[in-house]
Amino acid sequence: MKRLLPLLLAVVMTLGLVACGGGNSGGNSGNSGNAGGNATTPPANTGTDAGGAASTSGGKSPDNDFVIAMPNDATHLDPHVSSNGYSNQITNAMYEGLLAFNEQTEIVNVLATDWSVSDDALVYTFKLREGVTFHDGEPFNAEAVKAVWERGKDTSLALNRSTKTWTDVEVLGEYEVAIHIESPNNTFINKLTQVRMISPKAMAMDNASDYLAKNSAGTGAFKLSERVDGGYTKMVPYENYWGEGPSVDSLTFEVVPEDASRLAKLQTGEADLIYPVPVTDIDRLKSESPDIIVDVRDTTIFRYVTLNTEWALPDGRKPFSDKRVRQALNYAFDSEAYAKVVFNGYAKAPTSCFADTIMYHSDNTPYTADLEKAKSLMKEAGYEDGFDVEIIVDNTTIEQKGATFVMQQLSQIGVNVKLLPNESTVNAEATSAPLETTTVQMWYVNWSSGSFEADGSMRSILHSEKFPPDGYNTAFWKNEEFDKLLDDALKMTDTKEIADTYAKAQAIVWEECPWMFLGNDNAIVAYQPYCTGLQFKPGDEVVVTTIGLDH
Amino acid sequence: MSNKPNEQEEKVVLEKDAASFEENYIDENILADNSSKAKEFVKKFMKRKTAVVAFLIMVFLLVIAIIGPSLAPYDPGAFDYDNILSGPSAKHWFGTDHFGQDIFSRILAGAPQTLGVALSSVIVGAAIGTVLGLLAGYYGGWIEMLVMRGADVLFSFPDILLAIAIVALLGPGIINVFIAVAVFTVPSFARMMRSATLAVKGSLYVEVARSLGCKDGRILFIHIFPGTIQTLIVNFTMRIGSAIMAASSLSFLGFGADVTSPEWGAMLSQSRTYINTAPHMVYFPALIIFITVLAFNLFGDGLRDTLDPKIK
Repeated sequence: MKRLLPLLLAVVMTLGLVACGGGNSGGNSGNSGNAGGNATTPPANTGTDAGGAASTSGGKSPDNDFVIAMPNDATHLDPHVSSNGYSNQITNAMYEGLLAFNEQTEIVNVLATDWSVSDDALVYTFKLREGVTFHDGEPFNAEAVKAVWERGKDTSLALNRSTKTWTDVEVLGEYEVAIHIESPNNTFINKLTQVRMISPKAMAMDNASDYLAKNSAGTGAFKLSERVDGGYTKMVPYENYWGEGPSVDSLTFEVVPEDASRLAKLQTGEADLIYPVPVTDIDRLKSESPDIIVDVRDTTIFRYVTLNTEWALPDGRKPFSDKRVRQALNYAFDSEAYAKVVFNGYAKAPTSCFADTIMYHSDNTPYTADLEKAKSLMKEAGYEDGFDVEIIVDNTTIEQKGATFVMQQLSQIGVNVKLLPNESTVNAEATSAPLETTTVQMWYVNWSSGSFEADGSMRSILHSEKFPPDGYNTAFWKNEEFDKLLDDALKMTDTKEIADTYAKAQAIVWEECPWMFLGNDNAIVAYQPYCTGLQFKPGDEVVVTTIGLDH
Repeated sequence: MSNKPNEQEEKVVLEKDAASFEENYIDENILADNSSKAKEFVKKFMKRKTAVVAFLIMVFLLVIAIIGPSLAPYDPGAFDYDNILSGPSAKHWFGTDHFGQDIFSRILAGAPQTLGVALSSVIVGAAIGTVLGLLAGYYGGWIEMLVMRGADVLFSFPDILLAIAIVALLGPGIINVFIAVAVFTVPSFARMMRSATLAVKGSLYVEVARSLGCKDGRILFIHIFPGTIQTLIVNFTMRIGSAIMAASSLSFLGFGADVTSPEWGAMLSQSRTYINTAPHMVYFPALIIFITVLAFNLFGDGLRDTLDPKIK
């Protein structure tokens, strides 16, 4: 009898849990009508006094400190060192470039006030904004632009990827500068948006990157206040900002890797904005916290599976070298169901090899799921019995879920896919092996271009000069016509001509399908109703320059 | 009495005679009747209702593990995208998961994998640990030193951390989970068997066997080992519970079974993100792990109480 008591207790506790869970799930069927509208940009709030203790329920912020929760930290605060999405989200609050993209993917002036290009498309001349200072007090001028170019010669910096085509930076005056490039390049302006200006004084230091990890030296609306690696990055407004700045007392980027805790932070008001919102919890968030604004946006993230065209079965046959097999895989894959099952509907079926938010995207006839067609193509190619293949994938929940979906889809045409989930660093090593030693058969992966260029969305992953380790063309796909179109387009200046050339290139990729085209997911940002002045880039970046809190 | 068998005595009696002496001169009838002992054990065990229930659940689970997969109403890998995340119903007893797969069928299909890994790794780990413990307890000296200090080192890590370290070293996969669980089972058996051996070693009958000149091997396995078997069985049962936990945990963390397979821990890991929206996906695999571990532990508890003469 003595033993029954703890047992009974355990059962009661379990039942308690079940009951709680049941309550939550019951709420889901509730309203989900409060779809998030786009953020408007009301005039910046001038109040800076956070003294008054406002109540949270009245739609007012209790304080004037803006907190953004994200799953990852910046890899480095030096914007010339790091270049990934989460790093840019943080560094772009402190650093600016000459030009930038606005919400409509149009080029707008930031530190430049005007620019022009020479007739031969080799010299770009910029007029610079006057009276701009860096956080360390140094003035921004033509010499600063030149200093950035000098620093970009260091090939170990991410900056080098954006500036390596520059041949000279000519100082024409205090506020006028000309950039020379080696050959006409239609992606120059796109890449320039990634080149952020840093104070020449800071860059001249022996260990500039170490200094910049602890201090900011940009022209941005925020300057660094304190940072704990992997914890948070706190910033305060820069008092001498040249434009309309924020009205908050501080801005903190907090690292909250766990989806559920990030969501809870938003619901309790600890965080003012979270990104991304886990797709599985959107309906619940909308019904539990109808005041919170959920903002769904298109991203540049494109998901695909590379098919190694040189990979051979044990019997020597190379299934993916046959276009019919590659097409069969695409016909077997239901991208509508993929969006629904894996992304809870927050994704789009693809019509080309990159996202439609990228410039020069063109539509192709979708591979609508058609099992009969897929099977007959497999039969034509001599693979009616299918084959076994391995797919490498990062070991995060969402990636594994996506790869499992691919496995299920391909099982319908007899292709038995085995998942090999691993750390992203391990996968990075495997996928950078050259053709002779590669073990990659299929790779479940995604690509996004921060500069919205078609070239950047294709070259590194499809051009034959980008076989690993020089790039990520792990399909080892080589198509001379495609390569030529891509190379030619770079030198063109007429936008109509560029669009036509890229459309042809995309049509080739679509027809030849060196990949399985999976989808293009949405970015979901959720924030408190009292957040003001938010702007969004068409990618997934939140622009924080003019943010405020209604308090 | 010295720890080492007395070599002088061994030489006096010829070794082969010792065994035959035991068999010829010890009257079987004066030894306790084994069948009545078993009857008494069953009678005592039946009084412990919880343990009996746990035993029945345990047997039921083992039967499921053997024949379960063929009872599954659906193919555990069959997906149905029009019926994802639906709650328990007459059609799907435990509901469906994020791919529309039947959770009940998956739990049945996963039983052999989860229980198989746990059982086999504990058997292997216990066998190695027992041999090491017997040797350490009997011989003492540097063997004991080596085995016990080795066990101490392994004990200084928490079980699951040690298992993670091993799997991280070997790479993910169900075979490596088996190895990891077996490895962390070894030290506890070695330590326990050593102390049991030390207790039995001093008994008069062992002393007698030795003075008759029995070989070490015979003394160890014929005389000492049976004396420790009670402890072994109890510990073995208890250990299976923790092995199931460890195997499931490793799969949950992505170190174990293939994520697409219906292993219980892997199912739990996959369903984690749905705990708020489709809690049934979490509850059923969690509940089955909970019941299984509890059954093995309660059974082990009952067994220990029954076998321990100090508890009536």
